[in-house]
Amino acid sequence: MTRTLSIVAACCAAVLLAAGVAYATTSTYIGPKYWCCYESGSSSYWNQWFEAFFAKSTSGVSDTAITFIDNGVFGYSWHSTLRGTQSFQHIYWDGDRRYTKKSYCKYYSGTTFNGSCTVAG
Amino acid sequence: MAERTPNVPNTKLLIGAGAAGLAALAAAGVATGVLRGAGSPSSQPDVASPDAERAIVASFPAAGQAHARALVLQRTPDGYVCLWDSPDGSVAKGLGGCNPASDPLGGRKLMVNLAYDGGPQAASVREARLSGLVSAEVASAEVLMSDGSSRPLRLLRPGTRALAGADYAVIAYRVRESDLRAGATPVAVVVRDASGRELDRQATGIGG
Repeated sequence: MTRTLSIVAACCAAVLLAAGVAYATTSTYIGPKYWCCYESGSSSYWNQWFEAFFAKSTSGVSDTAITFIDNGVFGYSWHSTLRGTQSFQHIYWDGDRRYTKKSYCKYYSGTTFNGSCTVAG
Repeated sequence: MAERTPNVPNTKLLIGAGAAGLAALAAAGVATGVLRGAGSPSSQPDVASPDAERAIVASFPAAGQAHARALVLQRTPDGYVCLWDSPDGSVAKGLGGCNPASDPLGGRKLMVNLAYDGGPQAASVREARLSGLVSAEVASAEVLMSDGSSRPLRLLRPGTRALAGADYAVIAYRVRESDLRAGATPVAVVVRDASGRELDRQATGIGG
């Protein structure tokens, strides 16, 4: 009985570890969820974030943006901002990675959708 | 005499372990992209695949303090057409995105991205670029600015059929520094046919 439990636990741990490794340095800070109203959200601040993406279930009809916002060093300015209607939007921080920033995504207008915003470091 | 474990608890334990295992597999599937629910993080196109094909279809010449950039069209092996505004021609550093290859314009006559640095107040925007694809029947395009003026957009026809499945015209426009200094920023892109009839428009803008 103990052996069976140990094997099951080990298998679960291995699978969860594999999942964890796959997403070890990413944070999905909104969703996946139904975006019904014009809303927005942001990740935590970290200096290692360098790319972010907005995944949507629609294409061509939902006007959204994703960006990085600095922590005040540059006046909470927006960086590498992308606005459009594509079903997948991606941005990249091409500046000095020592700067602390957060990712922010926003739904402006158009058809509602299922979507999520993720940042990676 | 060895103690015997009752059968019923064993069965419950195995059912519980099985459920936990399935949950773990589901979590792993979501994380690794095996389960690709629309709009979920794992639904992202395989833009990093070595089997993805790409070509530079336009460029943004350097202007003032702004460096030159390339506009990259990409076809992923999992069926997406992507457009990247890139500092070095790579996809990895690109600002852009993807639509399903079955309809790269998403049912529209145009697909336009606005990429910019600065803001969210218009006065603090340092650089802004429009990039996009438009239907082959589009004869002209213009960007409407926040001060009520407009600027014509040049339509490039580099030949996109091999990657995008059809011949789309391409837009690669850097917003003039003088416009940005004056606080004039893009608010919409309009496309017209040869007779001047408006075919479609896409709203855009800074901050908000």
